[in-house]
Amino acid sequence: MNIIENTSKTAFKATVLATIIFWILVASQEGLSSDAIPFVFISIILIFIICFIAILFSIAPFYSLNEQKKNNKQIFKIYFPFYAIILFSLCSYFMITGDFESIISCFFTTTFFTAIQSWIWFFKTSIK
Amino acid sequence: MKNIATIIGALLFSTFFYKQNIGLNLSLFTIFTILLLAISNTSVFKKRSVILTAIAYLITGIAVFLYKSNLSIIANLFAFFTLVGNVSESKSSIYVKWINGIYTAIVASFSLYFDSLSSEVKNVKKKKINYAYWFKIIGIPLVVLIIFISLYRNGNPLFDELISKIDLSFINIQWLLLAGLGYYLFYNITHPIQIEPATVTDINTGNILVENNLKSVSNKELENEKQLGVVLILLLNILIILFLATDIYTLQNSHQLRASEFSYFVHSGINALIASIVLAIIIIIYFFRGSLNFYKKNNTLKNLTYLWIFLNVILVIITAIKDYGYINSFGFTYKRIGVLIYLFLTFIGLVTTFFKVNKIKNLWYLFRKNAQIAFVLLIVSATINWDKIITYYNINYAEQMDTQYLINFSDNNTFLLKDYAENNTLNSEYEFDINTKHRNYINDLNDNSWQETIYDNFKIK
Repeated sequence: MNIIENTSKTAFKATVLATIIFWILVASQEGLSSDAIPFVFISIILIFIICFIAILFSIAPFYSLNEQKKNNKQIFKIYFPFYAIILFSLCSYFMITGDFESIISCFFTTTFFTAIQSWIWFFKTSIK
Repeated sequence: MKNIATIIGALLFSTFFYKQNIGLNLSLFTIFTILLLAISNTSVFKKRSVILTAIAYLITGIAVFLYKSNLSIIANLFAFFTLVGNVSESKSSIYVKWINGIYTAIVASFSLYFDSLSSEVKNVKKKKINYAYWFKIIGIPLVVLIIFISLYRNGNPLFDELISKIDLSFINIQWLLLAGLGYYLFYNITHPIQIEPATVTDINTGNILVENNLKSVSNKELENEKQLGVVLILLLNILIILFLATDIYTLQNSHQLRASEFSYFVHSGINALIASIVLAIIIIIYFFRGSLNFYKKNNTLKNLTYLWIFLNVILVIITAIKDYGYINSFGFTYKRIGVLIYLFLTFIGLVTTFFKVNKIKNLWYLFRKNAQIAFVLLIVSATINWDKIITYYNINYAEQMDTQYLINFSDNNTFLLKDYAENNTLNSEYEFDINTKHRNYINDLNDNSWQETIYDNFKIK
């Protein structure tokens, strides 16, 4: 599995998912005027960069370090639970310390679900 | 059936928690969660450990309603994860249940989805949902009902008024998103999963240290290690005896100390205990980690270890007496209660270490037993209204009292402080603060919706 290729593919899908989740949450809380729509498109670039970096540095290393010894399913089974628990704890911590402020809650909720789904996209590649 | 229950749960979740503070809603959520888990995992719910955990969870739910304290809410959350983890694998250790519970609650659906992608077994062809049937069975009665309601509203003004009171304006996109989150949560907990291979490893690891599993060590090495242990623990026993002797002497003369000296005496004793007990247990675990447990000539070492454990227990008791003396003079505070709880846990740690050495148990036994006891202590602590007890004791028994400290507590001691202010002459600033606290609390209680109701709401009616 080519890591950069897989990371890019996963990052594209993650960008779409993150954009949808984030802006739905923002629109539900703050409302979304037509003036904000250009910002939605601009944010896609930023979200892609964040997703790519996050996947490259927080998910791909699990594959790189174990590709010779374990298959994708084994890597997922061993590391995904702890990644999910640590990520959930961090997101919850920042949301609580941010006093559940609207934009912080939206950001970390999006981060959590996008990262979790990214794991599945990243590691299901060779199973098919 | 499971799906219908999950949808109902999702709607209830949003009804309970959308733009509401914690109160009766968390207690009702607790009851619904237990029922949902029982319905979707009936066979598992017959096990004693699951029933006990469900009871503990229910107790914390009731505690939240009685006195909405941070401790009761945290204990409720802990008990929730423990119950979910228990349903996922009841034979695992309590800390594995915690992580299984958290894992299940936050990502079970994603994990199951990944498993379905990687499963080599062909999925059984799913029964297609007959949408036409469901549309007929829900849609037609709904339309007919609406027509008849409109007709009856025109026929009877009282009926019309009753129907007008039904207010569904709270349903908006945020409410629906929260219901979606509720569905996600309930779906996850009704499809419990485990972390592999951690869970299997934990279940397969017993509490007994097995000689065959240990690295083989020569008798000479064991003898050397035994001698080192004997010398070290003998010297430590002598040292602790000297320390205890001086501590007991100081304790007997503590009434002669000034407040600042007594405070230093208590706090330095606690610090010494923290360091020495932890180190003591580590040293004992080190020597009794392996083959030395089975060495035939280890009786001297074992007896010295038992003596050292016993002397550390004496140290715990003396420190508890110091702390109690401090409480007697200066009243209860959370820190002083914290010290008592720490001393209790230390005592339990020493007892479990004794059993570890005596019954040749392994390190996992220590972790499991201490974690179980800490969990039980958390549940029991959550049932106590600490703010009220501290306030009551300090008002009635403490020789000196810090009123401002009590005023800064949560609202759980408001009524007690109000009674105290009315029956005693206080500094005008304290009286003003207490009256303000009381007034604000009454206003908060009156503003509570039914979801936020707590026990104190019934006291003011």
